[in-house]
Amino acid sequence: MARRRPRRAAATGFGDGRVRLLTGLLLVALLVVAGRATLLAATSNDLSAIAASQQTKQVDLPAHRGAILDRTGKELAAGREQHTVYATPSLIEDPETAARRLAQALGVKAAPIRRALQDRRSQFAYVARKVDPAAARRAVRLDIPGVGSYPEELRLYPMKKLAAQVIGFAGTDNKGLAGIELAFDDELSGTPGSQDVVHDPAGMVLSTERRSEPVDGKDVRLTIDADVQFEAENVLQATVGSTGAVAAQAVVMDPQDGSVLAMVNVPRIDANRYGKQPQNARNRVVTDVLEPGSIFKVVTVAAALEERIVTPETAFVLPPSIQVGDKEIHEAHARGTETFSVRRILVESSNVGAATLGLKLGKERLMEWISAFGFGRPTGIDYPGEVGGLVPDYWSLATIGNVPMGQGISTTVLQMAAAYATIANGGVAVSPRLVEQVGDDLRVPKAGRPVIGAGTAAQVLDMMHDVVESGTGTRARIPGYEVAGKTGTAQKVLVGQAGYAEGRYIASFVLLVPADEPRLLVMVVVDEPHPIWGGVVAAPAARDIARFALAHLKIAP
Amino acid sequence: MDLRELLRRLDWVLLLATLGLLTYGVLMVYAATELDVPGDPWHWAFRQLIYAGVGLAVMVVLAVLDYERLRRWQWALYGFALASIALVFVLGPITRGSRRWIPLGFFDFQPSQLAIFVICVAMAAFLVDRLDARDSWRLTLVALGYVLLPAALVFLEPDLGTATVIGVLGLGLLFFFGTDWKHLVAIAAAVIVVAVMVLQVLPMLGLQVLNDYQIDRLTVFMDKSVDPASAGYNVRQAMIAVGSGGFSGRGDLATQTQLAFLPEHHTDFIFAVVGERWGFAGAVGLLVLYALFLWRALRAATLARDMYGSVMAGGIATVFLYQLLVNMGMALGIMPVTGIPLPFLSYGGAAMITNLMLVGLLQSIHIRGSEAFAVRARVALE
Repeated sequence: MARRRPRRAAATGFGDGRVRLLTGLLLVALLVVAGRATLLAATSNDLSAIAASQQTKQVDLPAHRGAILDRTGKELAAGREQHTVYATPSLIEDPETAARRLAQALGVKAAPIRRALQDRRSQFAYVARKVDPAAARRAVRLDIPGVGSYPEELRLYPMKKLAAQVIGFAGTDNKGLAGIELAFDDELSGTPGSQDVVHDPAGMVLSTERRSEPVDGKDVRLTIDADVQFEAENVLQATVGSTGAVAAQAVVMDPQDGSVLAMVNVPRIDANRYGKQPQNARNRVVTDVLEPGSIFKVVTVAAALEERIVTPETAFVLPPSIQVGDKEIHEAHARGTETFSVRRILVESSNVGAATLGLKLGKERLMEWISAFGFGRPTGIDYPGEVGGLVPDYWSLATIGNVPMGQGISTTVLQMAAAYATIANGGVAVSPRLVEQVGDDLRVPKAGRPVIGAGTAAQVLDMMHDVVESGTGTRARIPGYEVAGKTGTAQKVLVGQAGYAEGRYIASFVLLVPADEPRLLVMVVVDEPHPIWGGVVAAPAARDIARFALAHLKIAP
Repeated sequence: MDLRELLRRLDWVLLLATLGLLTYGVLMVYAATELDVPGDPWHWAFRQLIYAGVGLAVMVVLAVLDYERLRRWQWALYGFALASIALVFVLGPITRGSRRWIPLGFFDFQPSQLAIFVICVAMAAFLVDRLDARDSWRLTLVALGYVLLPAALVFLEPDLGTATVIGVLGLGLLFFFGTDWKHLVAIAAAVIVVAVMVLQVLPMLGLQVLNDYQIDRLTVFMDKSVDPASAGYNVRQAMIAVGSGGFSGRGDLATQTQLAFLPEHHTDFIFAVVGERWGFAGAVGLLVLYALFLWRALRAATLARDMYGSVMAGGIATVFLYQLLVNMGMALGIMPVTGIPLPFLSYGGAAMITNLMLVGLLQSIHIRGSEAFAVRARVALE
C-alpha cells in the first residue's frame, strides 16, 4: 500500500503557478520581516538605552541640610521636612479641572497651577513647592495621572530677624546664597544620595532601588550668642529710632580670642524673606567701609608710644589749629593754645594733638603701624564678601595730618574692632571669628602675632579708661565696672566725589570692660544720627549692650 | 471514514504549527499583561486560553465535517454575514468611537471576524459555481461587488483593518479561482488609484473618506518623526521594544512591553512583546512557525479534492499572510498602523475562534484531499 503522497493535484483550477507565486511572495515577505528584525536587534544597544531612559529615572535623595546654631546651641537656621508636589502636564487631559482640584487639596490659588499645567508637551511642572506633608498627601490622593510628591526640606529661620544678615540665606533649592549659609554651604549641604525609580508611562512609581544613602550636612555652631545679639539689636534699633539715624552697626566680641558674640546690622531684615529687602541684606560690619574718625586715634597714640617717641605724660603745647599742607586742622570744640599730655590728646580726642603725633611719627612709621594693626586687608573672618578697607596710597602734604585722626583712610567696623581687641589682648593681634564648631570639629582660635608690647597696650587702655572717666565718653560708665572706651565722630565722605558731606556724621564708640583686662568689647557705629556725637549717641548704646552682656555672660568686674 | 483514517490523514505539521503558535500566544499574552490586573497575573492569558480551547473544539468539528456540506448553505451564510454585520449598527455599543461587537452576555460577538470565515466559504462556492464564466469581466466585477458589500459595512463600523482583511480575502479567492491575470492587474491598479485618491487627492479637494486619525496611522510609517507623541508613538515604542530585545531577548527584564509603555501590548503589538522578551531568536522562531503554517495552507490548496477546497485553502493562506505581514510590519515600523491582529498571538476571542475555524477548514480540505489521492492511488494500483 503506497503511503507516499503524490506531489501534484489534478482538481485545482489554476495549476501550480499561482501557488508558487504566493509561496515566493511569502518567502520574500518573511525575509523582509526577518531582515527588519535583524536591523532593529543590531541597533539593540541604542534602543535598549532609550527604553531604559524612559522607564527609569535617577533621582537625588536630598541630604538634610545642617542647622546653624548659636554658641549655646539655639537654632538660628534649621530645615523642616516639607513635600513638593509636581505634575506631568502631558498626561493631564483637563488642566482646568486638575488645577482646581489640586488648588483645593493644597489650599492655594488655582491660577498659578493652571499656568504651570498649560504646556501640554511638558513632562514636569511644579504644582506647589515645600508644602505641608498632609496637604501634599491630599493632592497626590486625587489620583490625577502624573501627579506626585517628594520630600523637600524647607529652610526656616526660627528667630526671624535675629542676625539675619550674618546667617544669610539658602534658596529654594537649599543652596546657600549668602552669609554663613553661603560660606559653609559645602559643610551644611552634605551629600545627596541617589535612587533609581522605575515608573510606568503615567509616571506611577513601580519600584525604587537605592544606589547610595544621603549623607546629612553638618551643623555649624557660631560664636554668636543669640541673647546678646537680641539685646544688641534692640538697643541699636532704639538708638536709630531716637536719633533719626539711617543705620547702625555693632560688634560684640570677646577680645581675648576674637569670638564675635553679636554682629548687628540695623535696619534689620527677616531672614525668611531675605530677598525682599536687598538694600538692607548686607552684613555691613564686614562688607562696608567707613572713615573711622577719632576712634582711629588710638592707633596713632599706640604707635607713638611703641616707637618710644612719647610717653603718656609727654606734654605738647598745642595751638587752636594747625596747618598741615593745604589743610588747616581744627578741634571739634574750639579752644585756645593749651598744654596737652599724650593722655589728654586721647582723652579729649584732640585733632591737633593727633596730627602732631602723626607728624612726629612720619609717613613711613605711621603706615607700618597702620598695617601692623591689620588695616588695608581683610581680617580673615569666616564670612563671604569681607573687604579690606583702603589705606592711602597717594600722600598729599595734608595726608600726614589727616590719617592720624582717622580721615583719608577707610576701614570696616570689624577691622576697627579687631584693632581694639589687639590693644585689649595685651598687644597680641586678635583674629575675629564667627564659627565655633562645624560638625564635630571645634575651631580653635588662631594664635595672634604680637603687634605692640603689653606695656604699651596697658598704657593705651589706661588712657581709654580716662576717656570714660573724665573725657568724651563719660556716658559709657557702667556702675560697678571699670570701663575703657573711645569716641568717634567722623564726617561722612561724599559718595562718588571728593570731600565730605555737610552735616552728616558717623558717630561711633568702642567700649572695653573691665578696663584693666578687658573680656568684652562692644563697638557701635551709628550712621547720620542727631545729635552727631559718638560720645552722646554711640556711647550709651555700647554701654547698654555691655551691661546686658556682662550680666548674661557673668563677667566679674 | 473512521477515526484512525481521519487521524492518519490529518495534516499533523499544520496541527503542530497551529499548537505552537497558540502556545506562543498564551505565553506572550501572559508576559505582556502580567502586571495589568493587580493580583491576577493570569487575567488575560487565562481568557486567551479559554478562547483557544473553544476555537480548537470548533476546529475539530470543522475538520471532521466534509466542507462540501457548507457549499449548499452559501447564500444563507452570505446573508448571515451581511445581517450580523448590519446588526452591529443597531445593537453594538460604541467603544472607542466605533461599533464592532454585539454583546451576548458571556461573550462579545464580533460579526466582522466571523464574516472572514463565512465569506471565505460562501464566496468560494459562488465562484466555483460559475467556473464557466471565469474569464468574463462580468463575473469578476460581480465577485468584487460580492465581497465589497460586507467589506464596506465593516469599514463603516468603522473597522478599517478588518475591512481590508475581507477585501484581501476576496482577492485571494479570485486569485486561486484562476481569474484572468488581466482582471487581477486591473483590480490591483484600481486599488492603487483608490488608495491614492483616498489618502492624498480627495482630502485636498475637501472630501474626507477616512478620518484624520486613520490617515495618520496609514501614513505614519513613512515618516516616523512626524509626531512621537501621537500616531507614531505606538510604532516607536514597538520598535524600541523589539530592538531592545537584542538577539536573545530580555526575558523577565522586558519592561518596555510590560510596563505599558507600549499600548495594545497584548493585542495589536504583541509581536513587539515577542521581540523584547525572546529577542531576535524568538521572533525568528515565530516566523518559522508561520512559514510552516502557510506552507501547509498552500499545500492544502494543491492537494485539495476539488476546486472548491482548493480555492478556499488559497484564500485562507492569503488572509493569514496578509494579516501577519501587516501586523509584524507595523510593529517593525515598515507598515501602516491598521489594527490588524497577529493571528493566534494577539489577544481576542473573535479572531482566535475565527482563525481556528479557518484551520479546521484547512484540515478538512487536507483530509479530503489526501483521501481523494489515496482512493485514486488505490485505483491506479489495482
